[in-house]
Amino acid sequence: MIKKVEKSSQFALFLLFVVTVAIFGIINPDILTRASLFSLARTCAVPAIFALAIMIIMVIGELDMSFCMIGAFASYSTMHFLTEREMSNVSIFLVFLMSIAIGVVLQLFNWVLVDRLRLQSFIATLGTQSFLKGTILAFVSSSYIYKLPASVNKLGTWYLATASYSSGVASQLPGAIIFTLLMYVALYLTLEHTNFGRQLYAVGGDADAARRAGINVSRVRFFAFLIVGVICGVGGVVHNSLGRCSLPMPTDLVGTELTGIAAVVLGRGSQMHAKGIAIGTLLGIVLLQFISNNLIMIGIPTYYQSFVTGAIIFAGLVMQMRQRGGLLKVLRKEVHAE
Amino acid sequence: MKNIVTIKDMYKSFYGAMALNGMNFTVNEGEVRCLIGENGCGKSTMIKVISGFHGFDSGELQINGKTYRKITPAESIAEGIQVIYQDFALFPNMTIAENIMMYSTVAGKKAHINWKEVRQRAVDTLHKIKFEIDPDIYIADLNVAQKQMVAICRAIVQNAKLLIMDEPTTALTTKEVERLFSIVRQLKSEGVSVLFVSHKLDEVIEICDSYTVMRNGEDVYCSNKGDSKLTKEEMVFYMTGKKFDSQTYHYEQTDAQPVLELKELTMEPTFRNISLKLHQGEILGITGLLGCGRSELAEALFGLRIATGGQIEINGKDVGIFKNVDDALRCGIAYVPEDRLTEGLHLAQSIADNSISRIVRNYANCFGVLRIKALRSKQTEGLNSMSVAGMVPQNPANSLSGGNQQKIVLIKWLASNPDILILNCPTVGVDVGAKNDIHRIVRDLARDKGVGVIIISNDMYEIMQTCNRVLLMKNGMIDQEIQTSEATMDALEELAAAD
Repeated sequence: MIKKVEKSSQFALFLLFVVTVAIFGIINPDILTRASLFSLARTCAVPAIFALAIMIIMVIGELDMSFCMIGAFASYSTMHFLTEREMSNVSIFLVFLMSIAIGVVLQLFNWVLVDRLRLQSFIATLGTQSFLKGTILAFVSSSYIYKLPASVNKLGTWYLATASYSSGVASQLPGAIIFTLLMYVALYLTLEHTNFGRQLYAVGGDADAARRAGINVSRVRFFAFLIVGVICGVGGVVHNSLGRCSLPMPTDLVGTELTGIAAVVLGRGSQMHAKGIAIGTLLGIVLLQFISNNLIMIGIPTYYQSFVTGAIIFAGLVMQMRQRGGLLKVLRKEVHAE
Repeated sequence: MKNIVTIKDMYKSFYGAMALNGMNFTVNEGEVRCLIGENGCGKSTMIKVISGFHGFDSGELQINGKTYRKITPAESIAEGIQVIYQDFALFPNMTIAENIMMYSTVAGKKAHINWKEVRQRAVDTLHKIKFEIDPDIYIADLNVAQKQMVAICRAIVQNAKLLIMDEPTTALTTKEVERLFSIVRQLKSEGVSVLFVSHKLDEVIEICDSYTVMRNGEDVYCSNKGDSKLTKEEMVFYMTGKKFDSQTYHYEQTDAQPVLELKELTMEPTFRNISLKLHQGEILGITGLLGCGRSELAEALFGLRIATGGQIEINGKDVGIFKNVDDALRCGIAYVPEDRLTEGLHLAQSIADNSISRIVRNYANCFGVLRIKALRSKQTEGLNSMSVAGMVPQNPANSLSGGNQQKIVLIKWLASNPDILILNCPTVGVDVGAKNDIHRIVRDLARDKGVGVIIISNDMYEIMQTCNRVLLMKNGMIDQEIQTSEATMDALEELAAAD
């Protein structure tokens, strides 16, 4: 059992995570307090959901640059619609439902581009991103939303526990983290233990081989994009509900795509084995958020943040490569590629 | 005897081009049938009709006694037909066990995956063909022969009644081929039929009970189990409709300066102390088993690998060791690589542009602007120098079949008028007709233009067809030198295989 874990693609990432946490913890023990962990959970909740979206897309061997925009679009237009109609008492389920519906429609648009029109997903979804950004600003609204539905505010202030730093500042564990965790569990089980999940991996491994195995590749991609649409819809609402002082803005998630992609790249391992990517992605996002959250607490100015994050990503990739049989060997292989 | 697949008078065309033109074909229970034919003769189309990837225009398709007007891939699999494609269609990101069971998993339609059962059934199947390997290894970490074994396991786990193998031996070593054949025989004894699609006539003769020869979309020869076997020459005749005479290349030894001389060329650890002389107009073969260092030697002679010791002399002048490809080009060396798909051609570019890619830099003026008119005429000149079937100069290079692609690679190199031509396995995966064309071109080059040619190959037919002299390599050293006029193909093969 232990050997199996050691051999898995995510083990190197796990080691990196432990080492990073240990180093940060030694420099400033405050980082390992309950309050700090609650704050980490809060910052992870939304990026972790969006990382799941890009994870599914990358499992089927594509890339999506529009998932953050779609999340923002789905949630913002839902909020906008509800505020305009002054429907501030609608249930949270309806809010989610509307946002999910919009997210699904938009992701299925991506499916049409990628599967039906056979466009390159990276380029096509960049187009989607730009197109949606324009659409929302031109046709929906371009301003902040000041008054969210009550149920959304309630979700944002639903706390599971509270703790305070030594300085006395309070930190709460948001209830929305439950959504995130449930989604991870559900997708982990789907990917590792269901026929459909294996078909997702199969399509990503080799779409032609999948076709020959009798897999309906278009259908698998359709459901993949559909699930991603659901994730984007949920992610958008959770993002807006946890926004606190930052009010919903049409395009406020755009620009965070690379965090999700980095988490998945770290999480799937350099060998891209069809195994444990959900665990890896969660580890990846927690690691990245942990660093950006706590850098300032070990005395490193925030403008070094991207620098350190980038360095950690390199470290993760190199460690995984070493696991594969030595970095030098890999480099040599690349030079003498036959 | 029961027929598994029967095809009668089948027609199928793609955009007006006839792929199947009145094809008749049967496979009986428990036989190893071979399907041979040149590239583009419709073999793959027929396989794809049987496996459900193509429909057909008219004719009859019967599988296990049931007549199909159109068969889907899933139905074909359900009828017990399994195809092992050249690329194996395995999932590199999954383990051996999961790959073996993937088809059954998909077909089983059960939502939940029972990993214990998947692993157990995979282990049982691996056991059945006596393939000892850890089922938890990922496909990406396997070599070609191992992948093939996995593909075979995947086919038999589904109770295949007919196993179709498309060019299964192309990338295997002699030992691996023997192993494959013993598995094929074992399957046959268990009542599984095998359809063996291959270019390699020796292998076909060794393994098959019966043959169907295809030409231009129809069957031109069909034998049944127990019929007398065809000779190689007869097979070639049926495949191409032409008779080829086999003779060795005649070369008069002269005392002139060798164009290329190697002195103790060494590249640890793959080859060492290679000394040889190549004269103008001579065709020298270098052969040996896979891994004997022949390919590496070829690459060292073109600066793709850097030798660690020894020296190279061109026309009597010491040029040291090639450090890069430019060094070799300056010495007038041309190199036709083993893998034309990734190393020989710009597949997505037009045939015409490929034909001048070696010399295009000579056609630029001092500002780097190309003299288009001169280039165009050079393109036409090059492309007219060989007969390349079905060629449209403006089409991309990947529109051509393997043999014709190889001709374009030759045209590209000959445009620079090289003094020395090195061919590394020039006809792997090339059909017989094109193969003979290429051999003729090489012989003409040496005889008429005085080019010194080195052919690296493990195809003894090729060596006998083209070379006047052959060097046998073993474990990185030259084992012996043989004059082809004094040898036979069988003798060469025996020498190469002997330890």
